[in-house]
Amino acid sequence: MADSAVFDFVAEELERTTNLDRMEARGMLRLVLKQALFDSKTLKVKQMQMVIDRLLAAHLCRCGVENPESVCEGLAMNLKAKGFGSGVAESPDEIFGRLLQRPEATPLGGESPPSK
Amino acid sequence: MIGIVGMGVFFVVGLFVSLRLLGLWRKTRQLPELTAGMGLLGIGPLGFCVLLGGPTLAPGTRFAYLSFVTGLAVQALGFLSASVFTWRVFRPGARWARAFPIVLGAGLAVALVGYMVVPIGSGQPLWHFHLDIWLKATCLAWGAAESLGYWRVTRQRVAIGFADAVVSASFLCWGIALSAAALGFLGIYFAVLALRPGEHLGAGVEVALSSCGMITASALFLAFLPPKAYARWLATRSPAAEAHS
Repeated sequence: MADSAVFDFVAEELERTTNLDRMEARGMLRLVLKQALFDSKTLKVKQMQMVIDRLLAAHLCRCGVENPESVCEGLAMNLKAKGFGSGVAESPDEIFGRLLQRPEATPLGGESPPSK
Repeated sequence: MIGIVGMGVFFVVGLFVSLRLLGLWRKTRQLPELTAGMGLLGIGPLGFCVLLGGPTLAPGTRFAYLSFVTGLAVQALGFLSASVFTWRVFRPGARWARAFPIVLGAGLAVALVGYMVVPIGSGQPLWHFHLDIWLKATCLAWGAAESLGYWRVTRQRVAIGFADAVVSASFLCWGIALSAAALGFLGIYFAVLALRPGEHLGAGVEVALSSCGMITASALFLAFLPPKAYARWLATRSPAAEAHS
């Protein structure tokens, strides 16, 4: 099974906007995804956005990429602009989050803050 | 009596949850809402109502058998919906998972034709009974395995703040509900196999089936209608939430 379109897109963006080559960009991205327990083959946009928001900058920094925060901001913007929304299957988290219909839940992603 | 209690609770919770899911589908028009709602309604309240209605109201008549077979047809549609839900939610890209509902539907249709052509009597169960129950148990077990497997992953994600604790718990509860339902079907199967001609199900079997109904109902309730206090408890248990506090 091939990597998801979201993974390929972000890896190519990393290759284009940083000094990392193809192998480094994809390898580093796989490591970050592994840390977040996401699979590159079934990766969804929201999962990637969470990884960019929370983990990627630190990994880019470790790889010697300059201005990792601005790289992440650019990646997040381009990912949003790419419009993967339609055609990409939802994750089970998103579907169950919708079935629960908890307005305070953050499907797929972060923990819900404890209710007051 | 205890048999009625467990099945009654399952009936009420199943009806409430399935109608809520179908109500949600009216808003979202998404396949998972529709298939989950139809699956639950068909397998549970509606299926059992039609299945047992005739034999209870007019035992031994042609109407009773017609009602029984119609109930099986309703249940078959419910199982078909449930398998589409499992495929769509957990394995949308897998060909074998896409084929599963087709195989299940064909198998259940064959079993249904078997029930119509060769009515079951008081003797040993016939081939269509075996086919029907094993297909249904497999469908439930598949859904349970997928949901529990996914729960294991999300539980770890919750620990590092990458998943919602309540959503994660709903995978566990959905898995438990399906497991208990599968056990219930297998319980009926083995109990019927052990029966001698003319014998009825014993009290022990009824208690076991009732327990399965209770567990399924409780797990369904927590999976789709988690009370606020329970959701709060889950959220505060996650390490990520502790880090925030």
